[in-house]
Amino acid sequence: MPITIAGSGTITGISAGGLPDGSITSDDLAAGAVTAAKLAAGVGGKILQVVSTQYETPTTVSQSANTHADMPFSVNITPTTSTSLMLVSFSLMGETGGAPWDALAAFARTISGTRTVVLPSSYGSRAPGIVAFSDTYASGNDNDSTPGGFYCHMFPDSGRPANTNTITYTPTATQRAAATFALNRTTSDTNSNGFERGISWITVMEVAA
Amino acid sequence: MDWHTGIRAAYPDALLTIQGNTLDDLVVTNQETGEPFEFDQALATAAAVIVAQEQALASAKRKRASAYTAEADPLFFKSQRGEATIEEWQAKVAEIRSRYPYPAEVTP
Repeated sequence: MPITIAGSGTITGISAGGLPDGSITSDDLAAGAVTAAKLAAGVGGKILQVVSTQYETPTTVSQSANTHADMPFSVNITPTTSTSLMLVSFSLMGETGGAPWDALAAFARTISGTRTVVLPSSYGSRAPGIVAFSDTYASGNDNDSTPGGFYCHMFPDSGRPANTNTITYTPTATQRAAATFALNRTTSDTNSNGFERGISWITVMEVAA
Repeated sequence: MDWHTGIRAAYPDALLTIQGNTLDDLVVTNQETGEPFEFDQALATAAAVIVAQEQALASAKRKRASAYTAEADPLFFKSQRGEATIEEWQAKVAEIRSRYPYPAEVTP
């Protein structure tokens, strides 16, 4: 096929692979020109960004009955695309300060000042959350030296609004009765090896749709 | 002292987030307003002392109850069967009370 250089600025007749190897450099491509659809399956990756906050401060948080209280740390993420999926993971080390069997955690999604706690779509009069408390010794009320944790792994936040507004993700926790959640410490936090301390964190990954 | 315990005991109805350990790094926030929460140090200290006494009393009661069950009660039942004396049982009870004394301010 003959190569034709048109006066309109187009070249035709170049066969696939017809350019010398290495003759196209990244500078020849327009910024952002390579889309996910142009990548072969398994090439290029789908993780668009990862944000994380690690929180070590020993803390206590008041909890009203049946109300998700914010933990004092969060992450901000601005979606790259409106259709990408956010995978939310967090771990809260601490002690419930009440009945561990009644304790649940979730997370709040705050966009432009509007806070939404992500919960089951239907729960009636039941206690809602995403994960339950995992106790290290659940033999009674948990209000002295028995830590445990909430562990949420890669929860797909499929309900987020389809836009690119910045999202603040904050772990939350609740109990049936009013209580005080001890975060990164035990309730009494005595300086002795029978009383533990830990680290809590939240990580959010944006994954291409 | 644990400032978290003292502040919460002094202000039981306040919804607070308390971060840190010492007066130098302590951050107390009113959850309802998001504003710093001003607390009375003397009041919090006094409340922490009361809580500590209550916890010490509760701990001593738990330990006494456990020791009575494991050590004193068998002696009592043995005394009923003539296999031990009432005095031995009473001595064991006194020894347990001595081992786990109540806080000084509390009447046994």
